[in-house]
Parts: sequence; C-alpha cells; structure tokens
Amino acid sequence: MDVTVEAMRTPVHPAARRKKKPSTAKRAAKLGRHVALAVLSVAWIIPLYVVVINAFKAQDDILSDPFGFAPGKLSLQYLWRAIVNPDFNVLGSYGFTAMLVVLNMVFVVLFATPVSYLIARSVKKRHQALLVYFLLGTFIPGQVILVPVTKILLGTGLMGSLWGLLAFQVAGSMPVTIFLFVGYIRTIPREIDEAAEIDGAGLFRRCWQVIFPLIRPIVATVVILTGMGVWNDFVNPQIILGPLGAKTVTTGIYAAIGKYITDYTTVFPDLLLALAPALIFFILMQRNIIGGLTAGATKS
Amino acid sequence: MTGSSEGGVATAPAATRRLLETLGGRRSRTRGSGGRLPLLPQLAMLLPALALFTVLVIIPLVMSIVYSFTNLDSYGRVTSVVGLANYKHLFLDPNTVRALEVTAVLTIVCTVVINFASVGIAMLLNQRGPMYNVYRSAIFYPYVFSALISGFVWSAILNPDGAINTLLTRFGLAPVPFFTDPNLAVVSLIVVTIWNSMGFSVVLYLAGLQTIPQDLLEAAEVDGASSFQRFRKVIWPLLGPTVTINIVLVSIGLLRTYDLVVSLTGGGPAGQSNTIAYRIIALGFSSNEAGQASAGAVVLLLATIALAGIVMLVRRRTSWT
Repeated sequence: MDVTVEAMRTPVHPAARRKKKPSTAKRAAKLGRHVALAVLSVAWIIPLYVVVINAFKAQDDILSDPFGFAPGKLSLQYLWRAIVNPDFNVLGSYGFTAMLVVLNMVFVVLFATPVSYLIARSVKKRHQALLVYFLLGTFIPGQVILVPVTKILLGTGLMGSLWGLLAFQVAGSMPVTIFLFVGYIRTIPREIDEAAEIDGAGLFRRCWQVIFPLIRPIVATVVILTGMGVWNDFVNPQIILGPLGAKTVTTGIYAAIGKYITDYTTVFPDLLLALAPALIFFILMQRNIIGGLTAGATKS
Repeated sequence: MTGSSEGGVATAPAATRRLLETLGGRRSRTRGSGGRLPLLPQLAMLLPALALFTVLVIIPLVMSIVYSFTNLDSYGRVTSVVGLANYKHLFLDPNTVRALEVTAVLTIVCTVVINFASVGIAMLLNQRGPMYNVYRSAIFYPYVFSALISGFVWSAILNPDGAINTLLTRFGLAPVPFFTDPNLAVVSLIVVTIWNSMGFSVVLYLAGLQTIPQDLLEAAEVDGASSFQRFRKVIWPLLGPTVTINIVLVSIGLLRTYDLVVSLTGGGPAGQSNTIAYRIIALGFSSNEAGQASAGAVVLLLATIALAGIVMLVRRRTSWT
C-alpha cells in the first residue's frame, strides 16, 4: 500500500496529465451512472407514489387507473374519513406511539448510561464479563423469548399494560445501547473524570455531569435507533398490549386494514396516514438518521 | 492502593495534564477505577439495566430452552418433560419445515442480492452533486418505514385488483398471482424485503467507501490499474470490515422476518410463505403449542448464532488486508 501512496507523491505521470478534460468515455460513464440511478430511484419511489396519489381518489378511479394523476378528480374526503374513522383512531395512535417512543428514549438512556460508564471505566474482569453478558442479547431474536416474556408479565401483572411493553422494549434495547455507549466512553480520556474525582465529584456526578454531556453524539444515535425501532415495532405491542389494548400506529393499521382490505378508499388513506410521520421524520432528519445508523453499525 | 501507573499521566495529552494539575493542585494518582469504587453506588448504577435485562431477556431465554423439552397446558404450566418430542414434531410438521425452507431461501437470497447490489449502487452513488443526494434519499427512504406498513403498501399494489395487475391486464397480459402461488408469494416477500431494507446497506457501504482515501485510488489509476483492478485490489480489501458487518446485520435481521409476512402474504397461501419467526408466534399464541414454539425458538436462536459465527469465520479467513 505504501508503494502506491509513494507513486501518488511522485510528479504526475504524463498519461494522467493528458486526461485533464473529461474524455468521451468518462462522460458516457457519467451519463450511464445517472441513468442507472435515476431508473432505480423511480422504481423505488413508485410504491410511495401509488399510496399518495390513491389516497385522494375514488374506488373506481383507483381500480381503473391506479397510476393515474387527474387533478380534477382528487378529493380530500377519503383522507378526512380515515382521520375520523372510529375504528382506527389515527391521531390517538400517533399520540400513544409518540409517548411510547419518548418513554423508551428516556429510560433507555437513563438505565444504560451508568452501567456503560462503570463498564467503560473499570478494569475489573467482572465488569468486562458484564459487557459480554449484555452483548448476548444482540443474538436473541425477540420472537425467541416472547412466549416466556408474556408469562413473566402475566405473573407480575404487567401484561396488557403500557409499562409491561415499555419494560420489555427497554430491556431489548440494552445490548446495542450499552455496547455503543461503552465504546464511546472509552474514547473519552480517563483524566477528565479523574480530574472531577479529585475535585470531589462522586460516581453519580461524574457519570451524569461530566461524562454524559460528552457522549451526546452517541446518545443522539441511540435515541434515533430506539425511536425508529419503537415507532415501527409491531409484534411486541400486538402481543403484550393485546388485540383489544391501546393501539400504536402499527397495531392500529393492522386492525384497520384487516377490516377494510378490499376498500381501497380506506386502505390508501390509512396507509398514507401511517407512513406520514416516518416520512416527515425522514425528510427533516435524513442526515442524522443516516449518520446514526452508520455510527450504530460500524461501531459494532 | 494508590495505583501504580505513572504511565497514565505520562501518556495523557499535555492539555489534560495541565487541567489535572490546575484542578487537583497535585499530580494525580492515576488508578484503574473499579476496585476503589464504593459498592453501593456501583450497585445502584448497575441494577436497573441488569435486573431488567436479566428478567426480561436472559430468564425468558432460559425458559424458552427449558420449555422446548416440555409439554405445557393452556395456562402455560409445565405438565411433563418430553425430551426431544417437540423438536421431532417440529421437523415432522410440514408447515414448520416449509417455514424453515422459506426462511433459509429468504435469508440467503436477500443477503446475497442486497449486498451485491448495495456495493454496486454505493459505488455509483459515491460522487459529489445534488442529484446524488436525491438518488440516495430515494433508495434509502423505505428503510424508515416499518416492515408491517411496507407489506400493506405492497399488498395493495400486488393484489389481484392492485396496481400491477391492473396494468398487466390493460396491456392484455395475464394477471400474476403474487399471493396465491406458493413460490410467487415467497418471491413477493423477497422483493419487498429488498425494497424495504436495501437502503440501509447502501448507506453503510457508502460510508465505507468514503473512508477510502481518494489519493489511493488516484495513485492506482496513475499506475495504470483498470477500474476492475482498482475495485479488486484497493476498494474491496479496504471495504472488508464493512462487508462483514453488513452481512451479519442483514442476515441476522432476515432470519427473524415476521412483520412483513403478517402484512404481505399472511403466511399464505395455506402457510406456504410463513417464516420460522411467524411460525413460532403462531404456535405460541394462536395454537397454544408453547412447547413446540419454544423448540422453534431454539432452532432460530441456533441458526442466528451459527450464521454470525460462520460469517465471521469466513471473513477472517479470506481477509486480504
């Protein structure tokens, strides 16, 4: 590898100097790249387009011309009917899911930060073993433990409640979160919290007042990962809250679509309403989402 | 007990050392923490996460393994120990065998397609310019949607009277039975999985590509390396760790495919497109076969561990760097 780096430092090779202007071949390659990517992008957007456009059309128009866009024939009534549909309280499910997301974020960070701080700063074997113990969780698919989890929640009276669901979701977020936190805290010089210790700061203060402000970037990553995971979670709320319990966006749409599967004037507006928050979140936060996902994956 | 390492201070960045001296008024006795940490606050910091994780992840895992060797009544009480009978039933049940096949096909096909396509797309996308951001967004956005809702979107499109079949009939072609043909149902699952989750791999590979120093590629070009050689000898080896991570994350995620099956095919026709995760939930909650569900869960767990192990092993052996 060193050899190639050296080659770059030597005066420019004559063959390279001649290539100042993009050759026809290069322009063709660039055009080809744009065409390939544009085709792919359009293919990827079509499903969203179909949902958006058909959310404003009548059943006959949807059936006869699903891709058609006739401005005169569009109507807001279907979307409105979906919003006020008593069978699927969309706005209520937004609120409930958002609350669940926020509670998850708070408790995940609250529980994972101190444990990660201890593990990251300790040289003790038992603390490193603790990290391995938490990491086991990343290999356990949720469905593997769901049957016993419902038994435990039943036994503790938390089955069917928001708190039972929250507890299970927070527990499930611990492995990845602790892993990311420990890795990040280890990059912070130990001398910083030692200075704080000399100043008389106890363990809690060092964790929350000294280290926590410094790990904000990875907290942001975790908050995004947790938020997306909880907002999109389906099987856990469906099983733990039960079919008659409070509805998240996913369990709500599941109940609603099951009922109206052939009535596209209900299906498409419902789908649009279910997709809208995620879509808006994506448009506003794209950079952070992609940054967070990449950080989350490459740190592991 | 003062800890031994002067080394800690010696290697500390000068600024931090100065900070230390100002704050402490004395040279710090650098120490490995942990030993000196008071026990009670330590426990208070550990306990919430440790207790929650143990009670709701590890204990259930042990219970699942135990259940897989037992029979349970409809109240979930263990009535008898049956040895490997649950596993035997599982592997004799055509629905579960089909679920294992579908899961294997889905995992392998999607992992291969997603990874190959993503490397290619990331190479195409690795350019500056506003259009490239648009392309990236267009390919990535489905990833923020839940698999459940993505499945509903596609089921509305692939239905017999959905958008695709309407288009086909208009051109005088026969409609495609996306959900009523057992194998086409699996193909539908594969297609929607790729649509839904490829964006994640693309941005991961893109991030990996962007860490490759441009100098290196230019140097290779100056040395007369063809674009294939540049890919094979420079990009691919440097992308190695990203490839491993991506394959592990994608394949482990695919093994547990559940939501998409619920919304896209419902496991149908006649259970021909269910996955092992779907089968576990169905057995455990609809049919009250907690023993068999747990056996399925153990199989899924072992498959996850084996897959991760194999990928790591293969990658370690064939890493060129």
